[in-house]
Parts: sequence; C-alpha cells; structure tokens
Amino acid sequence: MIITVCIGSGCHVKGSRKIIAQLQQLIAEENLACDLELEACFCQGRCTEGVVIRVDSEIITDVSTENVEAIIRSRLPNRKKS
Amino acid sequence: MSTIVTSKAQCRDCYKCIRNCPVKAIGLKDGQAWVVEEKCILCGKCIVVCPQQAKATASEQAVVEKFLADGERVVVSLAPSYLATAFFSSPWKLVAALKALGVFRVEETLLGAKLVAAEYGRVFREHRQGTMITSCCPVAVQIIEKYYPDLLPNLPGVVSPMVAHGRLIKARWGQDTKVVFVGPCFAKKSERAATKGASAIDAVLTFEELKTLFTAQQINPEGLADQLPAESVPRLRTFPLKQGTLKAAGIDDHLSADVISVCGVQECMETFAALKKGEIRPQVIEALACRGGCINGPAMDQNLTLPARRARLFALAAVVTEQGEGGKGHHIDFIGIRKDNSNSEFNKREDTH
Repeated sequence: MIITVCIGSGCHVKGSRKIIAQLQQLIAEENLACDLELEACFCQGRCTEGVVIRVDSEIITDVSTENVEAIIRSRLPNRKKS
Repeated sequence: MSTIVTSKAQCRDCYKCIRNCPVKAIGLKDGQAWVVEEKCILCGKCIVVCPQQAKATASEQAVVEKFLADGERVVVSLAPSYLATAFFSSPWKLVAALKALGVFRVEETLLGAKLVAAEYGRVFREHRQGTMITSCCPVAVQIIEKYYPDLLPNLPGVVSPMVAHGRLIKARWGQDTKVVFVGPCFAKKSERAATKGASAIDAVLTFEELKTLFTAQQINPEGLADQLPAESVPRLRTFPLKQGTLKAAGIDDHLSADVISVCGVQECMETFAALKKGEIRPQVIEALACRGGCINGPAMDQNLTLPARRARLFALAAVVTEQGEGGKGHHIDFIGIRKDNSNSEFNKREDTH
C-alpha cells in the first residue's frame, strides 16, 4: 500500500508534516514497512478539504492527526500479529 | 554473451547435464559435454546438477577486485534474494562485509524494481488488449528470444530492475560510478553484456562469487558488526517470490483467466507455446525460470530448503534500512527505463522517456 501525503501549502498549514511524522512512527512501532510505503506529493487541488492523502489510487480528504491512524488501519491487509 | 563452460579436467562424461538441460542445449565435443551457446538460456541447471562441479560461468571476481584496488567508487546493487540467503548468520553480515571491502554504498535492487513494476502496472491498466509477459527474469527473456521470437512484441519494452537500478545509481552518484550487481542468478551476467553503449552495470557477481571474494580479501563477515543497506523499498521485498512481480505492479492475482504466474523453465515454455497457439489470452503472464522465484535461483546457497528461505525472507523483510550516508546524491526526477531496440506492442505512446 502506498500512502501519499500532500505537502502543498494548504495541507502543510493544516498539519500534513505532523501526519507524516505520526505515520512514520506507526510504521516503525508496528513493523509495517513491508505493507506501507510513505511518500509525499505536491498540491492535489483540494485545498479547502485538507489534509489530503492518497492510499494507492484512493483520495481521502479531511485527514487529521486524530483520524489518520484509523483511516490507515481500516485499509491494511489482514495480518496475523507475529 | 556469457557462456557456461565445461572444465575438461573435471568433466567425467557422466552426461548428467545433458539429461537435465531443459532445452537440450548441451552437445558432445570429444566425448565431453559442451554447452551450445545459441541454444542455451543460462538457467544454470547444468551448473547445479554436475556432480564434479565442472560447469561454471566466467568469474568476475577479478574485475571487482580491480575496481576496489583502483579506488573506484563502487555501488552495490543487492538483489532482494539476499534476505533469503543463509551463507552467513544474517544478511546484515553480508552487507557489513561489502562495506569492509571498501564499497561506497549498498542499495537494494528494489529501487529499480519499483520503477519497472510501476510501468508494468501502467501497461496492465491501460492496455486491455494484448498479453504482457513480464521481463524481469533474463532466462524467460532468453527463452522468448531463442525459442518464441514471435512473442517478442509481448514484452513491455522496459529494462530489468537490475539495469534500471544501475541507471539510477549512475544518475545519482556519477556516471563513472562502478555498479556491481550481486544476486542468485547466472543469467544476469549475459544481460549485462547485452546492453549497448554505456553500460548501466559494470560487473555481476553471484552470492557464491561474493563469498569467495570475501575469503580472498580476508574478510570474515561473522566477525563484523551488522550493517544495513543504505536504501531499499521494504514494501517490495516480496519481489523475488512467485507472484512478487505482480504484487509490486499492483496487479491482483485472484485466480482468474487474466493473470498467470508461472515458474520453471518447462512451465514457462508450455505457457508460451499455448499463448503462441492462441489457446490462452491472459492480460499478463509473470514468467520466472526458477521454481518458487528468485530465492531459488541457481546461485543461492542450499543451506536452507526453499520453504525455509521463503519464511526467512518474510521474517527479515520488515527491517527498515538507513537513509544516511550522504543523503540521496543528485536529485533525479525520472530516469529512462525503456529498452533500446524493442518492438514491444506496448510502446506506442507519444511521451516515451
């Protein structure tokens, strides 16, 4: 799964960098490097609906540090906890 | 093209290689078995089965030793199967030993696989007609070139992950960087020799050759502290497995007529023959010459069984590599991954790189 976080001005101001840091921590803590790849992109043109992220080809808007973890977990492939 | 040669001294005329060659490319010369270059697909089966170890490809150990002795900047492209090897107690010893040799940087070939797989995914989504045969496996490509040339247009016209990675390394770290690919495959040696003009890859070593190189340079990997490669793509670490290419390309293999994954030389030839006859019309064929994928390549160690190797790969795959050591070199927006002189049917786009 490729998670792409927008770091254009609108989303940056709404805290996209903090969301990136949070996801990096999640990946490190739960050993998800094989399942999740984190990338950044520039403005997606939905600035009023920031922060904007993409999970593979799906665009998700109104992402915040509060809801991003739930958003990602619901899309993770089922894995047996090792 | 790099050939597999027979050692006259070692060969005992047992003909085991002749019996095991999947394409009958071994003939007799003065009573000894010799590989016929025009028919050979470099699968390496003869090298593996010979009880006298009389078959080999030309060693490139001296080439690499010279690069290092001359103080060249050497970047190693490490095939993802390294996580499944058991030559040493852990793959991080192998990386540490590479650094001890004086290698500037170790990167996983997956950086190239990422670019190539993205292109396979694009072709799959945009070209609903026509069958694409993945071309990461040099043996599968040889089989098509030599035995099914009618299927050449079915190859997507992009270079292999190894070559893509080599081009990326030279773009980022300088064109005079020496790129050494290390992997489980003999056929990669001929793939390197076949690229025209400025070569993206300067030497190909198998894991076995690398082990010999360490010994020759008096490096004991077990005595070194673990080191991680400078850069990788953990998400793609399943690449060297059956269905690994499909997964990397974002192609769902959910048991349908559209997607075929085939491993093994005979199986590939059977599938290619069926495609040629029009018996099958899938959208994509993932073709790998080695049963189980590259982790079962002819130059992998036999310390673990194939299932054990697969499990080992999964166990180690989540380890995140470091990004330090000089950052990322020159910033690159894209690198060309098109294959020269390709008559691929999937290359009909205006904006070719």
